[in-house]
Amino acid sequence: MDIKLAQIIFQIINFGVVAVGLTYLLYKPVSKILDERAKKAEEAERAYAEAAKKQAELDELKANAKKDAEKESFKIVAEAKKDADAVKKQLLEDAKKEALSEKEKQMKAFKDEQNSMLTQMQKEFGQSVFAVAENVVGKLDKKQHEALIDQAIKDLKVAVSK
Amino acid sequence: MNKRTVVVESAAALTEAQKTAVLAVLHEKLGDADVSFSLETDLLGGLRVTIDGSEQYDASVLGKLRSLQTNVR
Repeated sequence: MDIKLAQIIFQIINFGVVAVGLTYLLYKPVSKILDERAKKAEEAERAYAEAAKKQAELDELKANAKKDAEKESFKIVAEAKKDADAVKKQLLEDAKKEALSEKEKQMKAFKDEQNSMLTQMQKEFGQSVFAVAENVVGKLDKKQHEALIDQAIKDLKVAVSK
Repeated sequence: MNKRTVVVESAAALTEAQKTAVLAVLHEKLGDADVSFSLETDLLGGLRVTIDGSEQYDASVLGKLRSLQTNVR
């Protein structure tokens, strides 16, 4: 086999041209694309990390807000319960007071009515007794009057001797 | 010492014997007293003795009825 120098040189030049051509036409654009992709991936990763951080902050904020809301709701419920208990107590006391007042009022009305009836009965009894006595005494004769006066004198003697 | 004033009221006129009996009782209690007798039919029966306008012995039927009425109350 003959090795021709001219051919070797030609091949070397040919290879060089191809290598230069490939470098400018393929390697650099591909390299540029890869760099851009890497840059984009890096940006996406950074954005993701930032988003995750924001998400974490948001979650924490949300958890805190929930915690505060729960705390506030417990407080509101406790206050509402306390107010309700106070109102219940007050209502109970008012009701008791009212019932007692009504009972006393009814008792007073009953006593007044009782006293009024008793007074009326006593008055009527007294009037009846007087009417009967007047009727009986009006029919007394002189002797009976004298007998009554004699008795009165005896009573007077007894009263005076005490 | 002043004489005490006594008013004796009765539902019917007192007999002399009754007046004497009343005066005897009063003399025993008060000694010498100025006694007057009057008729008071409202007493219904018996008599009532008032000494110096305040002290009173009520032995009348009216007095007994009033006492009964008071006791009933």
